[in-house]
Amino acid sequence: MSVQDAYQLLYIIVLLMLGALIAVMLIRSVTTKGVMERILCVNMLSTMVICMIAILSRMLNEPYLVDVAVIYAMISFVTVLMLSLTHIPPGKKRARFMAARREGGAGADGRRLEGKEPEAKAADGDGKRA
Amino acid sequence: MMEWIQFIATAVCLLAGVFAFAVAVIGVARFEFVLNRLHAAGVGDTLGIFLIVLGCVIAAGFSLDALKLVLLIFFMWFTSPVSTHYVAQVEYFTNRQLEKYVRFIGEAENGSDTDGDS
Repeated sequence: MSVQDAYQLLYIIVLLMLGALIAVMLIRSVTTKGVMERILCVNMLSTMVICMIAILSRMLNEPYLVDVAVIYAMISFVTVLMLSLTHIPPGKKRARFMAARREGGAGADGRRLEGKEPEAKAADGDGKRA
Repeated sequence: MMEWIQFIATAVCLLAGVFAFAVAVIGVARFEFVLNRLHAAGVGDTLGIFLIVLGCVIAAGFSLDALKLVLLIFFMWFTSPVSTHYVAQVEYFTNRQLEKYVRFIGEAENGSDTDGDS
Protein backbone atom coordinates (compact mmCIF):
# COMPACT_ATOMS: atom_id res chain seq x y z
CA MET A 1 0.00 0.00 0.00
CA SER A 2 1.67 3.15 -1.17
CA VAL A 3 1.24 6.63 0.23
CA GLN A 4 -1.00 7.72 -2.64
CA ASP A 5 -3.45 4.87 -2.01
CA ALA A 6 -3.51 5.75 1.69
CA TYR A 7 -4.25 9.37 0.84
CA GLN A 8 -7.09 8.36 -1.50
CA LEU A 9 -8.61 6.07 1.15
CA LEU A 10 -8.37 8.80 3.81
CA TYR A 11 -9.98 11.41 1.54
CA ILE A 12 -12.82 9.05 0.60
CA ILE A 13 -13.52 8.19 4.26
CA VAL A 14 -13.53 11.86 5.29
CA LEU A 15 -15.74 12.82 2.34
CA LEU A 16 -18.25 10.09 3.21
CA MET A 17 -18.38 11.27 6.84
CA LEU A 18 -18.91 14.87 5.77
CA GLY A 19 -21.61 13.74 3.33
CA ALA A 20 -23.47 11.98 6.13
CA LEU A 21 -23.24 15.11 8.30
CA ILE A 22 -24.51 17.23 5.39
CA ALA A 23 -27.47 14.88 4.96
CA VAL A 24 -28.32 15.23 8.67
CA MET A 25 -28.08 19.02 8.41
CA LEU A 26 -30.24 19.11 5.26
CA ILE A 27 -32.99 17.02 6.86
CA ARG A 28 -32.82 19.16 10.00
CA SER A 29 -33.06 22.39 7.99
CA VAL A 30 -36.31 21.16 6.44
CA THR A 31 -37.94 19.77 9.59
CA THR A 32 -37.16 22.65 11.96
CA LYS A 33 -39.43 25.64 12.56
CA GLY A 34 -38.62 29.30 12.15
CA VAL A 35 -36.63 31.36 9.72
CA MET A 36 -33.31 31.92 11.46
CA GLU A 37 -33.06 28.26 12.41
CA ARG A 38 -33.15 27.30 8.75
CA ILE A 39 -30.67 29.99 7.80
CA LEU A 40 -28.33 28.75 10.52
CA CYS A 41 -28.64 25.14 9.32
CA VAL A 42 -27.91 26.16 5.72
CA ASN A 43 -24.91 28.18 6.90
CA MET A 44 -23.58 25.12 8.73
CA LEU A 45 -24.18 23.01 5.62
CA SER A 46 -22.31 25.42 3.37
CA THR A 47 -19.34 25.41 5.76
CA MET A 48 -19.13 21.64 5.38
CA VAL A 49 -19.46 21.94 1.60
CA ILE A 50 -16.47 24.31 1.62
CA CYS A 51 -14.46 21.71 3.52
CA MET A 52 -15.54 19.04 1.04
CA ILE A 53 -14.37 21.17 -1.89
CA ALA A 54 -11.02 21.81 -0.18
CA ILE A 55 -10.54 18.06 0.38
CA LEU A 56 -11.63 17.35 -3.20
CA SER A 57 -8.99 19.72 -4.55
CA ARG A 58 -6.33 17.64 -2.80
CA MET A 59 -7.95 14.35 -3.79
CA LEU A 60 -8.14 15.18 -7.51
CA ASN A 61 -4.89 17.22 -7.34
CA GLU A 62 -6.48 20.18 -9.08
CA PRO A 63 -5.61 23.51 -7.42
CA TYR A 64 -8.33 25.54 -9.09
CA LEU A 65 -10.96 23.92 -6.86
CA VAL A 66 -9.58 25.98 -3.96
CA ASP A 67 -10.73 29.09 -5.83
CA VAL A 68 -14.15 27.51 -6.09
CA ALA A 69 -14.10 26.97 -2.31
CA VAL A 70 -13.20 30.63 -1.68
CA ILE A 71 -16.00 31.81 -3.99
CA TYR A 72 -18.44 29.45 -2.28
CA ALA A 73 -17.43 30.92 1.08
CA MET A 74 -18.10 34.44 -0.23
CA ILE A 75 -21.50 33.44 -1.63
CA SER A 76 -22.46 31.76 1.66
CA PHE A 77 -21.44 34.85 3.63
CA VAL A 78 -23.40 37.22 1.39
CA THR A 79 -26.44 34.92 1.49
CA VAL A 80 -26.60 34.84 5.28
CA LEU A 81 -25.97 38.59 5.46
CA MET A 82 -28.72 39.48 2.97
CA LEU A 83 -31.27 37.07 4.45
CA SER A 84 -30.60 38.57 7.88
CA LEU A 85 -30.85 42.15 6.61
CA THR A 86 -34.25 41.47 5.04
CA HIS A 87 -35.62 40.86 8.53
CA ILE A 88 -34.11 43.90 10.17
CA PRO A 89 -32.32 46.85 8.56
CA PRO A 90 -28.90 47.92 9.85
CA GLY A 91 -27.72 51.24 11.22
CA LYS A 92 -29.97 54.22 11.73
CA LYS A 93 -32.92 52.64 9.97
CA ARG A 94 -33.21 50.13 12.79
CA ALA A 95 -34.69 52.53 15.36
CA ARG A 96 -37.43 53.62 12.94
CA PHE A 97 -38.09 50.01 12.01
CA MET A 98 -38.42 48.95 15.63
CA ALA A 99 -40.66 51.94 16.47
CA ALA A 100 -42.94 51.22 13.50
CA ARG A 101 -43.14 47.58 14.44
CA ARG A 102 -43.93 48.39 18.06
CA GLU A 103 -46.82 50.63 16.97
CA GLY A 104 -48.10 48.61 14.06
CA GLY A 105 -48.29 45.21 15.67
CA ALA A 106 -47.25 42.22 13.62
CA GLY A 107 -44.92 43.88 11.12
CA ALA A 108 -42.31 41.84 9.43
CA ASP A 109 -42.39 38.87 11.77
CA GLY A 110 -46.09 38.20 12.07
CA ARG A 111 -45.93 34.98 10.15
CA ARG A 112 -42.89 33.90 12.06
CA LEU A 113 -44.50 34.26 15.46
CA GLU A 114 -47.38 32.02 14.47
CA GLY A 115 -44.95 29.39 13.39
CA LYS A 116 -43.07 29.64 16.64
CA GLU A 117 -45.98 29.15 19.05
CA PRO A 118 -46.11 25.33 19.12
CA GLU A 119 -42.39 25.05 19.55
CA ALA A 120 -42.45 27.32 22.59
CA LYS A 121 -45.26 25.29 24.12
CA ALA A 122 -43.36 22.10 23.50
CA ALA A 123 -40.27 23.64 25.05
CA ASP A 124 -42.22 24.45 28.21
CA GLY A 125 -43.04 20.80 28.65
CA ASP A 126 -39.65 19.50 29.58
CA GLY A 127 -39.16 22.21 32.21
CA LYS A 128 -35.38 22.10 32.02
CA ARG A 129 -34.93 25.09 29.75
CA ALA A 130 -33.73 28.27 31.38
CA MET B 1 9.34 7.65 5.88
CA MET B 2 8.85 11.40 5.76
CA GLU B 3 5.83 10.93 3.52
CA TRP B 4 4.20 8.66 6.07
CA ILE B 5 4.72 11.23 8.84
CA GLN B 6 3.07 13.80 6.58
CA PHE B 7 0.22 11.37 5.92
CA ILE B 8 -0.33 10.67 9.62
CA ALA B 9 -0.41 14.40 10.41
CA THR B 10 -2.93 14.91 7.60
CA ALA B 11 -5.08 12.02 8.82
CA VAL B 12 -5.09 13.30 12.41
CA CYS B 13 -6.07 16.81 11.31
CA LEU B 14 -8.81 15.64 8.95
CA LEU B 15 -10.36 13.18 11.40
CA ALA B 16 -10.23 15.74 14.23
CA GLY B 17 -11.95 18.22 11.92
CA VAL B 18 -14.66 15.71 11.09
CA PHE B 19 -15.11 15.09 14.84
CA ALA B 20 -15.51 18.84 15.43
CA PHE B 21 -18.08 18.99 12.63
CA ALA B 22 -19.92 16.02 14.13
CA VAL B 23 -20.09 17.81 17.49
CA ALA B 24 -21.37 20.96 15.77
CA VAL B 25 -24.00 19.06 13.76
CA ILE B 26 -25.25 17.17 16.81
CA GLY B 27 -25.53 20.47 18.69
CA VAL B 28 -27.35 22.24 15.86
CA ALA B 29 -29.70 19.31 15.30
CA ARG B 30 -30.64 18.73 18.93
CA PHE B 31 -30.85 22.20 20.50
CA GLU B 32 -34.16 24.00 20.10
CA PHE B 33 -33.37 27.66 20.67
CA VAL B 34 -31.46 29.60 18.06
CA LEU B 35 -28.82 31.10 20.35
CA ASN B 36 -27.98 27.65 21.72
CA ARG B 37 -27.64 26.47 18.14
CA LEU B 38 -25.33 29.37 17.34
CA HIS B 39 -23.09 28.29 20.20
CA ALA B 40 -22.86 24.80 18.70
CA ALA B 41 -22.42 26.07 15.13
CA GLY B 42 -19.46 28.21 16.15
CA VAL B 43 -17.46 25.04 16.87
CA GLY B 44 -17.78 23.87 13.28
CA ASP B 45 -17.37 27.31 11.75
CA THR B 46 -14.00 27.95 13.38
CA LEU B 47 -12.36 24.78 14.71
CA GLY B 48 -13.77 22.35 12.16
CA ILE B 49 -12.83 24.30 9.05
CA PHE B 50 -9.44 25.17 10.58
CA LEU B 51 -8.54 21.52 11.21
CA ILE B 52 -9.76 20.23 7.86
CA VAL B 53 -8.09 22.95 5.80
CA LEU B 54 -4.92 22.56 7.92
CA GLY B 55 -4.91 18.88 6.96
CA CYS B 56 -5.17 19.88 3.31
CA VAL B 57 -2.31 22.38 3.78
CA ILE B 58 -0.09 19.69 5.31
CA ALA B 59 -0.95 17.36 2.43
CA ALA B 60 -0.22 20.08 -0.14
CA GLY B 61 3.20 21.06 1.22
CA PHE B 62 4.82 24.32 0.20
CA SER B 63 2.94 25.56 -2.84
CA LEU B 64 0.54 28.24 -4.02
CA ASP B 65 -2.30 25.84 -3.34
CA ALA B 66 -1.40 25.78 0.37
CA LEU B 67 -1.29 29.59 0.44
CA LYS B 68 -4.78 29.81 -1.00
CA LEU B 69 -6.00 27.28 1.57
CA VAL B 70 -4.54 29.42 4.38
CA LEU B 71 -6.33 32.39 2.80
CA LEU B 72 -9.56 30.36 2.93
CA ILE B 73 -9.04 29.74 6.67
CA PHE B 74 -8.58 33.44 7.36
CA PHE B 75 -11.56 34.37 5.18
CA MET B 76 -13.82 31.97 7.06
CA TRP B 77 -12.51 33.18 10.40
CA PHE B 78 -13.40 36.76 9.50
CA THR B 79 -16.81 36.08 7.93
CA SER B 80 -18.39 33.40 10.12
CA PRO B 81 -18.47 35.56 13.31
CA VAL B 82 -20.12 38.34 11.28
CA SER B 83 -22.86 36.05 9.99
CA THR B 84 -23.30 34.58 13.47
CA HIS B 85 -23.60 38.11 14.85
CA TYR B 86 -26.30 38.99 12.33
CA VAL B 87 -28.29 35.83 13.01
CA ALA B 88 -28.18 36.52 16.75
CA GLN B 89 -29.13 40.17 16.17
CA VAL B 90 -32.17 39.25 14.08
CA GLU B 91 -33.23 36.74 16.69
CA TYR B 92 -32.84 39.33 19.45
CA PHE B 93 -34.85 41.99 17.63
CA THR B 94 -37.65 39.88 16.14
CA ASN B 95 -38.34 37.12 18.66
CA ARG B 96 -40.99 38.31 21.08
CA GLN B 97 -40.87 35.19 23.19
CA LEU B 98 -37.25 35.68 24.05
CA GLU B 99 -37.96 35.79 27.78
CA LYS B 100 -38.87 32.12 27.75
CA TYR B 101 -35.32 31.21 26.83
CA VAL B 102 -33.12 34.13 27.89
CA ARG B 103 -32.71 35.85 31.24
CA PHE B 104 -31.85 39.53 30.94
CA ILE B 105 -29.44 40.42 33.70
CA GLY B 106 -29.79 44.20 33.36
CA GLU B 107 -33.56 44.16 33.47
CA ALA B 108 -33.60 41.78 36.41
CA GLU B 109 -31.54 44.26 38.42
CA ASN B 110 -33.67 47.27 37.46
CA GLY B 111 -37.19 45.90 37.63
CA SER B 112 -37.86 43.70 40.64
CA ASP B 113 -41.32 42.70 39.38
CA THR B 114 -39.92 40.45 36.66
CA ASP B 115 -38.64 37.75 38.96
CA GLY B 116 -40.16 34.33 38.90
CA ASP B 117 -40.02 33.82 35.15
CA SER B 118 -37.84 31.20 33.55
